[in-house]
Amino acid sequence: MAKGHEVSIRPKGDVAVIDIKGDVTALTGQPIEEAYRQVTAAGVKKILLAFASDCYINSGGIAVLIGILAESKKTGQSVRMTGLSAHFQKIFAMVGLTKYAPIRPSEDAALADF
Amino acid sequence: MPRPRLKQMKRRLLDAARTRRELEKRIFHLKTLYDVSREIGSLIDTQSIVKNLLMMVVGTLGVECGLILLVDVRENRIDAMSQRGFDDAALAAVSRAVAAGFPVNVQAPIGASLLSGSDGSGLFASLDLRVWIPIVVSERLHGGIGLGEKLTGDPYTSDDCELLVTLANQAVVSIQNAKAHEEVVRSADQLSASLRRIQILESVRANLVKFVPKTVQTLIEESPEAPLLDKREADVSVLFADIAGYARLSARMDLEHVNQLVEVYFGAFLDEILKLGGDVNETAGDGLMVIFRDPDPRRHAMAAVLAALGIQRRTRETNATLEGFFEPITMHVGVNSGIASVGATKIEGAAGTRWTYTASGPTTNIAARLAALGEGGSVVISEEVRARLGDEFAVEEDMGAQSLKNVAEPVRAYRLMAEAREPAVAKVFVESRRHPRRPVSWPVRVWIGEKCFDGHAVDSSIYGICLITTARDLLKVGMSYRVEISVGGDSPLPYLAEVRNLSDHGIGMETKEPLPLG
Repeated sequence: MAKGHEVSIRPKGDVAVIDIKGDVTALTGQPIEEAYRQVTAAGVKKILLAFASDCYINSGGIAVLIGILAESKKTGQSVRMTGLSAHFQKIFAMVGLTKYAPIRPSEDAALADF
Repeated sequence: MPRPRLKQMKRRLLDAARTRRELEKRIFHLKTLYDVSREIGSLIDTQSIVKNLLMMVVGTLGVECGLILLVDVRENRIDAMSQRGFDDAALAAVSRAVAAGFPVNVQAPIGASLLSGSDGSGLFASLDLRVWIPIVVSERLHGGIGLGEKLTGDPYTSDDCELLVTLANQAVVSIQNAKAHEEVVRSADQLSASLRRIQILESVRANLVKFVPKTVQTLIEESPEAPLLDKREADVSVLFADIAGYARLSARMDLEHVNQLVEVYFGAFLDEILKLGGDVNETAGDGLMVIFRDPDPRRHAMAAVLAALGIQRRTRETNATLEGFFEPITMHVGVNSGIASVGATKIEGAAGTRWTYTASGPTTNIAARLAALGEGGSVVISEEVRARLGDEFAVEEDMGAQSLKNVAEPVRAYRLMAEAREPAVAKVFVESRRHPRRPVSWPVRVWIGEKCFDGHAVDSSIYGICLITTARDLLKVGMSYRVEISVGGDSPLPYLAEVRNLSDHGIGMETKEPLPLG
């Protein structure tokens, strides 16, 4: 059963923080893509994907994130990720996501990393 | 701690970490298999299955560019496709390759194929695919999962391919189910459209029946593709009836009241005509032309005369009913029998072609002229008709040889007594049925549309029953109904039966198929 999914955008200086709560799957990935399109349209070059600690992400959700990272690579945006459990940090590393969007242990650390 | 022991421990720790990573990867793959079976198994359209499967695949293996393609290999046409990461040029290359025979021309064994540019169309190279997993849904539907380089840059392993084959096999089952569902939906839609067409045709037929003579209906039902409508010589009886003084009546009343009057009287006449098997051929304002046919020349002459007498009787009855509202009317009725040219006549005009089904020739002409001879309330018959009737009907007056317009020879005419002998003759007519009747006691069910009514057959011939049922008022003379007849306690047998007449004694129904002897 999918948990309540919620995506919001929060500016932090020149960084757009996209807060992601709930399950991230192929079916629920659309709001994340929409948030990414919004900040891209606003000309934001630094994006932080901030996952809630109880986020569940399946392979379909990872595909959504790969699509966003592929797009950010083309537009020259920097993307960081934070809030992921140790398990998902390993999965993200395994599938190569961390190569394009490093994972940082906290929001402050991620913001300081841009 | 000694140095070799330290190295050994370090190696063990590295092995443990590698094993743990491998275990986590396997768990992730298992979770993907679970998600695929859960999410794709419930989908019922091929495109959604393909799209979701691709998302799972690229997410599991960490791939930016990938596609799943299903091709109708008989028509070299893309049936379904989902892709991620490819540009328009790459997709155009896919379309060209499919038109040229891809993926049938892929030289790879069933199962995973680590690519070495063996697709025969150059597609793998142009898309920079690193792995191709063939999919065979059916003899007609082939395809595959094609993936580009992993984000990690690592090569595809045999474990990766094994996972992809498992995912592809799950997808095949889901796609087969989706195709079966699509086929069922398509068939249901076609069936629904066909039923709608049948309903429209039935509605058209029900309305056209009001305008088409019964003979023509029968001919078309017997041979719908090529009904035998061409003119043939046949022995018939022709009845003409018209309202005396119709022109004067029309001048005194408004058109609406004249039409009402004609409908009331002619409606009553129609009951008489139909129950005796007559075929109303023409109605022209104040007149009716009715054709009676039967293999037995005496029988159709008798039916025509009975109908003529019935018309006069119904005129008297209706006059009495409408007394005080309308002036009474009188009818001129004439009957003649003989050979006529019976069939379709084509009338071609500038605005189009019209067909009429009629009986033409001297027999018809004489019948019309005899009607004109009659005084109101009488029936005038020719000598030929009288000869066929024998002594069954009482003649009121021998009118002698009459010179009739457009008839070469004078015709001897007789005026019939309109009232006295009708019931007796009707009895004779009934007794002269082609198929003798006998009393029976059979349960009968009559279907009127979707509703079923119980009844009882009280007598039967090989092609007919006399039915008593509560549905009497719902049945119409000349219409056919589905009936189920139980003979001697046996299971009910279905028949199509036409209502030939409605009387206080029962409903006469004629079947096309012979009834059991009981």
